Amino acid sequence: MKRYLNLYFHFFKYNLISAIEYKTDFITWSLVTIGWIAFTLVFYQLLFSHISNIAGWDKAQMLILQGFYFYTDAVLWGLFYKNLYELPYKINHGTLDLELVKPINKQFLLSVKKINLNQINSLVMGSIIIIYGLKLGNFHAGISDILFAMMAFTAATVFLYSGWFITICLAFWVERLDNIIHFFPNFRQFSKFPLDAYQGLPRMLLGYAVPILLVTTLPSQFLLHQRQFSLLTVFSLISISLLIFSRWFFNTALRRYSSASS
Amino acid sequence: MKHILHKYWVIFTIGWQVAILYREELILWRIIDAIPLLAMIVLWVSVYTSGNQVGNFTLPTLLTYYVMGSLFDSIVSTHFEEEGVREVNQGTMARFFIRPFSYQRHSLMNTLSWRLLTIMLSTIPILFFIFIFYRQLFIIPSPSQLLLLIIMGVLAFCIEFMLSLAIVAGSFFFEQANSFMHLKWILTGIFSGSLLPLSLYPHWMERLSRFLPFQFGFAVPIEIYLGQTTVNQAYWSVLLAFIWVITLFITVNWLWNRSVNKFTAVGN
Repeated sequence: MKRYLNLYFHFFKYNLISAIEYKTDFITWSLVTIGWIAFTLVFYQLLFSHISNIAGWDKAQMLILQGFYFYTDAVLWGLFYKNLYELPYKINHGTLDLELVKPINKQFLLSVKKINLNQINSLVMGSIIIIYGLKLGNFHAGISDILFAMMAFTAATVFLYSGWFITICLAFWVERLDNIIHFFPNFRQFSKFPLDAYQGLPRMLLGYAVPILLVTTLPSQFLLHQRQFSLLTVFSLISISLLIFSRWFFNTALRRYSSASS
Repeated sequence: MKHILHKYWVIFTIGWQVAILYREELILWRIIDAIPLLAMIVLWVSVYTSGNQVGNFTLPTLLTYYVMGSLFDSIVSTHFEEEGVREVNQGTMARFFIRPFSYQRHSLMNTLSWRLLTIMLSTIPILFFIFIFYRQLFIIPSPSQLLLLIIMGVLAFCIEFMLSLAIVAGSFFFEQANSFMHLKWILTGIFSGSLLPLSLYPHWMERLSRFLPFQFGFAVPIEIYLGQTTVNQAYWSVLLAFIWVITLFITVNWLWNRSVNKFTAVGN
């Protein structure tokens, strides 16, 4: 464990040096991130000028939910995107060997080597929007609410990573599937709206079977003092199970990989 | 002339064959594209079941707006800029400078072959949509509406194509030209009407959107389809789209000619 933490620290240091070295790159992509956040806020501003609530969630509550959605942006694009983006290409072009021969856990190396530090903006903007939402709705989140919300978001992070990694491993079975990288982040768009907005079969599927809706709804509910402990326990168990499954699935998928050296 | 046409026909068929060879990718694109639309449908159904009313729109009209607008958008939109920027950054664009056809024409034929397959793939969900909702949501366009939609489709495709080409041209000057791609998506998202119908925007924002080129890929055709525009407004939209095509064509050509002089590559 210590070895991997030490390795991650070195990855982080390398990426920080790279971000400082290529300042224009960092600034440009930071602006892009802020642009997307502004885009979403424009949408909600326009929408709530015509309506009062979405499935009982008013503007303040929706902003808090949206803040957590920006957190998921930070996690997906910041921690994993640059790594997972290359994976289908490497599988397709047979250049995965370079990673496979290194004496560390392959999944770890393929998932966390590169860090996109400009996504710190999503984290900052998400926090600002959550604080603004709390103030707008006159909600008072205590320390315990924040801690439980953080626990729920940690489970969400594990769920998102595992789900994304599993879908990308499908590229081992198909000759070329470079766009598989876009599937899971797009699938996450359902979590832009709260669980209450979904009824019937979509609610069962996206809320409980593949609980993508809990990724933003659950942390928001804890912050809004609507504690759902049983749901948090179930969601955490699902996330951990999915992480274990992703490891097994990757090792199984690797058996399909072949190349004539790279 | 026959020889030239044959040349482009070959590029078209190669693009077609590649698209069919990697059909899993093509199908996955359709699924990926459908997700934001499904999320939008969930949102509006939820908004209306919560007792809200948005402008003069009924729920079926709004759903038709998004479903048909997304379909139109998927047919006319172009996505070759990401690969084009990569070609410039990695220097592989050089191969197009020694071939007997330009990058622009190659991209055009390639994009057309992919669009044709997209239309074919879209037929299945559209038939399903008509079958399920034909009484509530689907409107059969009149011949004049259909003609206007086809003209608007061609013009919107030309605008999309020019914008994508401008991004590729930008990558000759600016290494992070992929960021322009995001800028295009953001602007298209806001000003095309895919976020909300333009009539629901504040007055100043609607007026601005009505002069920009992004509306032709979504809002304008769907307004024609829904019969929300007068004949004069429709003709004005066609004229404005045509002016945008000409303006972008001249600008992009000028930019491209300047860009090519900046290009250097070793090998390939």
